[in-house]
Parts: sequence; structure tokens; C-alpha cells
Amino acid sequence: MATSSNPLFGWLTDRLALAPLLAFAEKKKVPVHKHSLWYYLGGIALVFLLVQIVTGLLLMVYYIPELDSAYASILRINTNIEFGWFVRSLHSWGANLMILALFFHLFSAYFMKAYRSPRELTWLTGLVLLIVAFGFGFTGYLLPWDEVAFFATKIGLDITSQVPVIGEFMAGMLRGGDAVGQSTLSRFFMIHVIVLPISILALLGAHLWLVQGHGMSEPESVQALPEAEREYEPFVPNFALKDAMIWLLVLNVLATLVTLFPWGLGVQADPFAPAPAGIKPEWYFLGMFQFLKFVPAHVGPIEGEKAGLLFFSLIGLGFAAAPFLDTGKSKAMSNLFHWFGIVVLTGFIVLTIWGFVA
Amino acid sequence: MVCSAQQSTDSAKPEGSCQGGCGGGGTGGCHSEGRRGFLKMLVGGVAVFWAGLTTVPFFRYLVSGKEESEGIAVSQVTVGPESDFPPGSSKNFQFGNIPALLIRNDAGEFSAFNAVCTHLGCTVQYDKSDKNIFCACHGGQFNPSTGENIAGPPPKPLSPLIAKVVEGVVIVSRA
Repeated sequence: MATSSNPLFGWLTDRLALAPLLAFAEKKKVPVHKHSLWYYLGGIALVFLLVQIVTGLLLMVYYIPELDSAYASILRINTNIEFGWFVRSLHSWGANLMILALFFHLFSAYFMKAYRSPRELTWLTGLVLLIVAFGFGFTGYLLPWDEVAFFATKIGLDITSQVPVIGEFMAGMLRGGDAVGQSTLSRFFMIHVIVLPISILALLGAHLWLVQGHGMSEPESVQALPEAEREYEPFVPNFALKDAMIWLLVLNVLATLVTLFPWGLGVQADPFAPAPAGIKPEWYFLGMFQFLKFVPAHVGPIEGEKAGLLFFSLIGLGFAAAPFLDTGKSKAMSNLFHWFGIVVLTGFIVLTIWGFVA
Repeated sequence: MVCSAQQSTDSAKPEGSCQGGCGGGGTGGCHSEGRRGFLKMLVGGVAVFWAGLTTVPFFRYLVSGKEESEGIAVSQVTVGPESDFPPGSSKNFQFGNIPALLIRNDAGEFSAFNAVCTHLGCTVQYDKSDKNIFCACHGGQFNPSTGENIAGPPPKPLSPLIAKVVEGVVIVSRA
């Protein structure tokens, strides 16, 4: 590499034993085809995660996870602390954009059938990473202790308690009592700032290791081409520089959103007041929320909310099973999973929009 | 113990050669493999038991807060003077550590319920114009006199409380 002429670089390469890594980076190639754009989504999600880590650390400087102070401390960050509104909005907007990027990443990988052998575990770690991201959203949402946060947590924990056998136990452990209160806030804070960050870093490490190990997946249409007709570009510097350019672009989008639409704060939660009219969760839970409105009190022998939970679980199971059932050997299975994805995605979009306008 | 005696006399034999030694000399067959399996199971069982045991303090630590909050048992609450509640009015109030709802219907009768929606745990309220109890989260509706679930996703009626007027004061107690 050209940089090896730099003596400091050479010294560091030797001391840190980086030679195999550099050799790998030099050889790493990225396929170029009409779907290549989707390859950038994982990186976009990653840059948002970095924003979350930095802004999360900054928020912890002023945030107080205590029932009487939580709301006031966020209000203080939003109004009294210089650029507090900016840091908090970066965190809230960043979280939403990260989940949006993860959705695009998931569905693009899904429809390109990137989950097939040998990438089954890459796919599964990705799914678990999305669940962890939801966990971040759910636990972080309560921390400002405003009205919507409070009821979103009540609903979320009630859904958890519907899980057969272990549900009540899990919800009880998370709630820390029979009502959402200080115990819940403390637990959610601890999960949000310690448990989930450690989990996400470990899972992300595994996910990225697998991505490097197997290289970028190519869609079927590209795999069908003869070797000579396939195009590739070097990861360093071509793809990496494009990656950096896109990161800069999404960071600018984030900064624009944050500046034009700083994140607000609702009314302080009152555990004994009724749920306010028009209450809605974050957009990524809105589809599920809307769906639960239409599930009747009883579906056959099961209670409605249990039926709803079962339905969501089956969808999740469908995604998890995709690499093992749609292996590429059966055209029928391939079509089945393709349409499963389309139906789920369409349902999700329709219910989410419906939830917004309802 | 045939096996171990054999082993002790021939310390140069590598580990795992016990069976051969036993098989050659014993008429009753060798129990070494079975004994090894048993020991493996025993060690595994002890390890699992030990691992389980170590989780007990942490588990007790985590549920302790829960028991503390459940200890606050309230049997009755004074909501306010009767004159504060004209017919058709309602009030969400705190009953111990649960949210509760008091309603006075147009005929002047009081009813009170645990205000936790039986669907997914939001807090319900009284809708004066529709004359029913509703939940703003998923649109569940309940009868304001009986607490019966009448529309939307809730699977069960609201848990009733008893509302009484004692010397001009509304008192709500557990049913």
C-alpha cells in the first residue's frame, strides 16, 4: 500500500500486527450492480449508532433517573443547558433514523435473498440486532417520564406479560413491582445504558465479522452472470470513500432535522391520570399498535391480545426461518418467502400510515 | 474398585487404558465406562446445581423491590365531598398504588372501578358525552355502571370498587 512509505504507519503496522488485516482490506472487493446502493445501509445504521453512543454519554451527564427528577432533568437539558436541545434531539432523531436504516437494511437484504447459505448466522445476528434496537427504543422512551412514555411502557409491559409461561415473570422483573414507577425507571435506565449497549456491541462485532468473512452477498440475477461479466470495485479506497461520503450526507440530514424540528417533551407523567386522547407510540411500533386496536376481545379460544402477540411472533419466526427454508433449491419456497416479505412490508406500511392518520 | 487397584499397580499406563486392563482381568466385566459416565453426570449435575444456586441471591435481589411495592395495601380512600360530584361527573384518582375511576351517573348513583384497562393496562376515563368509560390507547369501552366491556379489544370487565357516601363524603373501598 502507498501508505507503507510512512515510517510511523510502518512502525504501527508492525507493533499492532496489522499486516494480515491490511492484506485483507487490500483484497476486499465489493460487487457493483444495479442493487449496489443497498450495500450502504448497514454502514448508515452504524454511523447512527455511533451518534447514539456519543450523544447518550453526553445526556447522562445531566439526566437523573429518579421519579421526581427525570422529567425536570430532561426539561433542563432542553431549555437551560447550552446546546442541550441539540444533543437530546440528535439522540432522539438519531434513534429513529437508525431504526429506519435498519428496516431498509433488513428488507433489502431479505428481498435480495442475502440470508441464504452461508450467511444464515449473519441474517440471524441482524434480526437480533434489530430486536436489541427495539429494546433501546422501548427502554429509552420511558426515561423522560412524560405522559406518552408512561403509557407506552404500560402497554409494552402488558404485552410482555401475555407471553405464555414466562411473560408475567418477565414483565414483573422489568417493572419491578405491580405498577410502573421508580423501580421501572431504574431498571429501564440500567438496561438502556449498560445491558443493551454491551449486547449491541457484542452482536455487532459478530455480525461484522461474518460480513467480512463471507463478503457481500450478490443477488440471484448477478450470481447467474458468468464470472467475466460481474463487476467489482476495491473496498479500499473506492467503496470506503463512497461510504464516508454517504455518512457525511446522512449526518447532514440528521443535523437538518434536529435543527428544524428539535425533539419536544410531552406533559409530565401522572401515574393516576387517564391515558390522554390520541396517544400513539413511536412510528416503528405504530403498525403493531394499530393492529392491536382491531384484534377483537377473543379470537377463538384465545384472548385478543394473546392472539395479536402470537401473530407478531409468527411473523418474527417467519423471518428467522427464511434462511433454513428458502435455501435457493426450491423455486416455490423462494416465491413463498418473497411474497411473505411483500405482505408483511405492505401490511406494516399500511398500518403505520393508518395509525398516523387515525 | 478392581479398576483403580489395577491402575495403582501400573502407573505407567496412560489414562483411558483402564478399560482394557479391567476387561482382561475381571470376570464380572468392567464398570469403568459406566463409572466415568456417572462421574461426568455427577460433576455436571453439581455444576448445574451450583450455577442455579448462585443465581438465587441475584434473583431475590431483583424481586425484592416488587414485594416492597406490593406491601402498600389500601382498603379505602376518601375521594372528596359529595357536593364535588354533580350528576354526570367523574374523577380519576389514586387508590393505593393503582389508578381508579369514580363516576356519578345522571341519576346521582356512584360507581367506582380499578381504572386499569383489561386490554393492555392503559388508564381508562369517563366520556361524559357518550356516557361510557373508554380507553384512549386502543379504543376499548366499558359500561359506566357495571364496568362490563362493551366494545373494542378489552377481553374482561373492569374490576369494581365500592363507592359509598358516608356523612356527605364519597368513600371508595375494595369490593
